[in-house]
Amino acid sequence: MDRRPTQASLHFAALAGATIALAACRVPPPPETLVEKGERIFFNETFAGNGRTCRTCHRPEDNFGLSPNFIATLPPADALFVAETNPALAKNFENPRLMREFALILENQDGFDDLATNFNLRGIPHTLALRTSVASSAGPRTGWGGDGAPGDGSLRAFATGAVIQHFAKTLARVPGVDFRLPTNDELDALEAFQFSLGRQQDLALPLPLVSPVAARGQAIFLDNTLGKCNACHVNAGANADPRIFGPNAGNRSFNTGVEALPDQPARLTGEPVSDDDGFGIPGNGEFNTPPLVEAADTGPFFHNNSVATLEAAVGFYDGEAFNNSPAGQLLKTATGSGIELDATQIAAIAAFLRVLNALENLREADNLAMRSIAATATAARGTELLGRALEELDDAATVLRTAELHPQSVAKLAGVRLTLERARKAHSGERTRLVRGVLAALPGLRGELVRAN
Amino acid sequence: MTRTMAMALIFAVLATGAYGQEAAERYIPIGQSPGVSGKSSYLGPVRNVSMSAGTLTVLEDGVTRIVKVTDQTRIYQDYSAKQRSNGIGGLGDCRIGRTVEIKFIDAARRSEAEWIKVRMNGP
Repeated sequence: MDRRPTQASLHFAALAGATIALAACRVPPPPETLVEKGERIFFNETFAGNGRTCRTCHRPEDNFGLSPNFIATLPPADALFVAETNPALAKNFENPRLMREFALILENQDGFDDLATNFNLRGIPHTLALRTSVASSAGPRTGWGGDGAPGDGSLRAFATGAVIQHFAKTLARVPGVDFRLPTNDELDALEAFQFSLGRQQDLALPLPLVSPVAARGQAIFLDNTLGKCNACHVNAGANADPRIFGPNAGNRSFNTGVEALPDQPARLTGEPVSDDDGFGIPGNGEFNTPPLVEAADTGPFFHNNSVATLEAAVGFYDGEAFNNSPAGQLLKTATGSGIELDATQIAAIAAFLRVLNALENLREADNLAMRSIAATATAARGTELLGRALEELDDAATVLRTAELHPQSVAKLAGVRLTLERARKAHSGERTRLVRGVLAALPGLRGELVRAN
Repeated sequence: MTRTMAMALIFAVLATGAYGQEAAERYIPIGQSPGVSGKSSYLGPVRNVSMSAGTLTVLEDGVTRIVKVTDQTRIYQDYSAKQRSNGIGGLGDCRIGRTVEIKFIDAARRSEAEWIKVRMNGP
């Protein structure tokens, strides 16, 4: 038998040798950071439950929240719909109709004893800017009620309660059978990831806004005799004005009368909708204050998704439900009047919030694009990050276009988006070149919305 | 500024409440409450019970503590080791020798229980 190597075998050996040499030279991936670990858990971990993950309800494609329009794009087998596919969860786990029509999720904040009648239906708060919105002088405030986390009530503990409420295979909710609880390491990582999302600090208003309508909206927002918005949403964030509520007031809860709104969409369906008593057991009717910078692209609004548009959400404070509420009455006592706004003023405040949202979209798009070309980003990771940057640009265009704000800038955004889309599909060097082009264009777009100081 | 000061005076009456989602706590086994277990709670056996006084006695770090159980204290039956659903209990479940975990309303004073979990498979 001739054992001399053939040309083909020599070629194979050369290829194999080259592969081994390449493998030897390959730099090992950097160790996973706590934030990256948290992201992996947030996106993928089911905790041995019904198939849901944190991402099921906090979609990065939907600004880490969930809206009816996004739900409509999901396939029937999506884990969000476990109440429709798992017979053990068919009753008293969700209301599928209200979930699909209004993005309402069933919660048992007041106890799990009487599941048929003791429940609330709440919207899904986004998880952006948590770094700025959880802390208060009374301790951490999580979820719509401010008391969404078990244990010490912290954001770190929140996932434990979420697994028990939303991930269970059956309503017996037996740990180790219907789900497993997150470990301490997992809680640390999830907290780090959630705190990394979105804004890391509050704005410093007023901003030198270019749009006269948005600028007027900002002035009304800040005026404690007119809009009075800044008292509870200082700098359009989630925290109360420390000049009014004391230093380190942080996030506060209020009974603003949302539950008293007439003709709430979910109630119009005839489906069972109980009164939501908010913070505590029994509740005191208060709900915590969400940040407003991220509001325009994260509707529907309020804890029960009772209004779909930003203008309606601002208009709420001009209505009887708010002005007759405990918070509205306090405001009236403190300032001598309730909130009285005309349509143009409501639109102006909303325009201001839309511009703030668009500016935040541009900041986050810049951040994501930068991360996509960082040395540690693999091609797949880079593609994912650029996909999220594209969504931010889309959101910026949408929130402005919907109110006919900055039409020229919206048109330019379309061009930048096109470049970013090409970058997402391109390979290495070409991708980096295109992303750098986008990064160079973003400050100009920002400058069309707010003047440089 | 005057307006702001007036608002400050009025809003000063707004109270800040306690926090912590109580409903889900029921399903968290003894010793696993995040941020509480191993940090500020008591975990150990019941030494004595007074139904009439509404108190539990425990021994913690060599110190005998009498813990007040009020109408607001939630008591959970922990069946997790038996892989059964946890339930709502009462002071009668806190028998001498049973393992309990106690979260105190004031972690420093350790005199009044916010919630108590009772291991139901214990002696």
